[in-house]
Amino acid sequence: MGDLLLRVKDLYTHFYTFEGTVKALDGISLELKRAETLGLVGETGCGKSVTALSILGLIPCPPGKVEAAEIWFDGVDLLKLDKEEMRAIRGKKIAMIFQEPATALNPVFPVGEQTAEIIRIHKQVSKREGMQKAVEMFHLVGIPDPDRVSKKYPHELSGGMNQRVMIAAKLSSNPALLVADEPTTALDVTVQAQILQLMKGLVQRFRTAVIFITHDLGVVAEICDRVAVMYAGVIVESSKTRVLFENPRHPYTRSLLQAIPKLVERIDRLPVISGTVPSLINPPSGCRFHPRCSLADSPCKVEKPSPTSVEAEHWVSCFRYDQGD
Amino acid sequence: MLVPVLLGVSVVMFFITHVVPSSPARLIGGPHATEETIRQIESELGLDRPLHLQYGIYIRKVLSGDFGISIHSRNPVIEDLKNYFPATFELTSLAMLITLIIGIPLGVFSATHKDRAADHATRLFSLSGVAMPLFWLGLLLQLLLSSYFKLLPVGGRIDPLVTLLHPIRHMSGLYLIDTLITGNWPAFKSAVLHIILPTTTLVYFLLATLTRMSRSSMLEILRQDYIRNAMADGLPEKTIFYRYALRNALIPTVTIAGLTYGLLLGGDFLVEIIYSWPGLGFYAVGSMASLDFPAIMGVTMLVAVIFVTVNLIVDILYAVLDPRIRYG
Ligand SMILES: Nc1ncnc2c1ncn2[C@@H]1O[C@H](COP(=O)(O)OP(=O)(O)O)[C@@H](O)[C@H]1O
Ligand SMILES: [Mg+2]
Repeated sequence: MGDLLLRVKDLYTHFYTFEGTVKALDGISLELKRAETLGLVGETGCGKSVTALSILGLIPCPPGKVEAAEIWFDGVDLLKLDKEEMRAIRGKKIAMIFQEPATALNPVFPVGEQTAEIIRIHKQVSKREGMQKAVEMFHLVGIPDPDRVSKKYPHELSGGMNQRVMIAAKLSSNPALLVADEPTTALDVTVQAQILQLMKGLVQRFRTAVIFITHDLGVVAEICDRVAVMYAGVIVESSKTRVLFENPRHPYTRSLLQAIPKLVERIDRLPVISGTVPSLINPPSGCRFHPRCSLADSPCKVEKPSPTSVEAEHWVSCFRYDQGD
Repeated sequence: MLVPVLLGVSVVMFFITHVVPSSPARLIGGPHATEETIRQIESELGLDRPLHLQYGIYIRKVLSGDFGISIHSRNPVIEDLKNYFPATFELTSLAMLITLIIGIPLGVFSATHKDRAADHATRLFSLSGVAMPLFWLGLLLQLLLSSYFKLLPVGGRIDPLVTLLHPIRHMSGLYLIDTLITGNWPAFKSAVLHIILPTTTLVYFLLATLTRMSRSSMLEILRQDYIRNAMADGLPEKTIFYRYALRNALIPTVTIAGLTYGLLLGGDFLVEIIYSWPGLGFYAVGSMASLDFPAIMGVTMLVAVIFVTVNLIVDILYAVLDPRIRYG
């Protein structure tokens, strides 16, 4: 465990809104080793982005409030840092890629200038050196004619090109951790595959640890070492990717996997998970999945299941998880 | 753009001023003028010809820089405009400059400290500026600072006595600049003292709008993805607020400021009347009261030119600030 990079323990993030308290995260715990890629999967609205933003200290408060036993990163508890110390870590040691490259880049500055600015801040180099390094990074992420592209504005570039710019900018300071929040969701399918391959290659080369947020299990299978499945603000199951695909234990994971015909054999119809994602203002009591779970019985309705180890590095939060092998 | 606007404005104004049932000739002639005198004046002024001919003559003259003779001041209208416009330009520009220098940072500060004490104070201040009638504030300041404490002159642009002793060399027509360049300190001082109250009144009024405007557009920008992204990149707040966000928030702010500036250049009537500031508004009100048609026409044409020009400048600024417009 000497190679541990990030340990989040009992993370509760709530939003105090007019409609009520949104209990977006209800005790998230996760660990990440150096150079490891962790997939964070779950339906829209289950709290994936909030988890990422909580780690980076980017939850707006008010209305948000982040509480955790610890968010330990590379020797420091991020929760104990002040604003300035946290800022020094963001972008330099922990970088984050957002879903929409088109809106995540500033529309009024050329992309090269924006990238150079980040390099300048974190490496304390001159404007010119920053620009040089930015063009180098553009070259590295496979942008053709990087000199010319660096002078373009985001609206003049395609979505895929903008996401390449984004990746170049984020990896420019060689961060230990990259949080990628659905980096390919907004892109065309063919471009998605290219960007995915690019990211996979680069993080291997730089030994960057990645939290890869997605709702696409196919993507997870392709690039993640481990995977954590989220449901309504809770991590319901986590394990090595292979193990999870071959031997899912949590009823929610099982139904998710059944939604991908290619990966599951002997299936003759696509099961739809009945019900909808619950409101996080009034989440179900006990296990948050129980109203949609076919196995639920009385303890599930009152008691919150805690993570149980079913085998090495495989955790399930469920009273009725599948025990059979 | 300029040509059709001016043509339209001139046609409309010309016919409005000529169909009102009042005769400038009678005004010039006075109450005791005989019918004969009136007719003579009318034919001198060309008022006896058909309207479309009159318009044709007018336009031909305007094109050669002749706006006719003011009935009221008996000066060529163009000369009057040259005399009065710099006063308006000086007052409006100074007020606008001060407003921008204070208003934009104040709006940014307010937005970045949303819902804290400083923000509430700023919003209260701008609300009071919007709610308070301009003339009332003007009169209040006048009463307090000029009449009661005798700190500042009640009105006018400069002390005539001072200009008698220290004549101003007219170069730009802007007293502050002309006196400053020529080192005419007594006149400079007098000009400064005179411009304080009208500027303050105007700034207070403008500041209210502009601060609200820059605050709200700043708040809008701060919600954008690219601001959160810049935060995730660990950029300093100063860079994020004053470079990344402000540059975007300026786009709508500049538009409003520019249009307001254009409007005010056409004569900030109220302020000029309150402080007897000899500007375009002051001149226009005088001309209207005396049915001075050539003067009214001249003012209208000038206002149209100014407005179109300011609009053009705003468009250019817009394109400079927003690269998405440049190629669009
Ligand atoms: N600023 C906010 N204010 C109130 N509620 C929020 C805010 N941000 C996120 N939430 C809520 O937190 C929950 C999780 O959202 P999110 O993490 O974005 O989901 P996703 O898994 O799709 O990324 C949602 O119910 C969302 O409404
Ligand atoms: Mg999300």
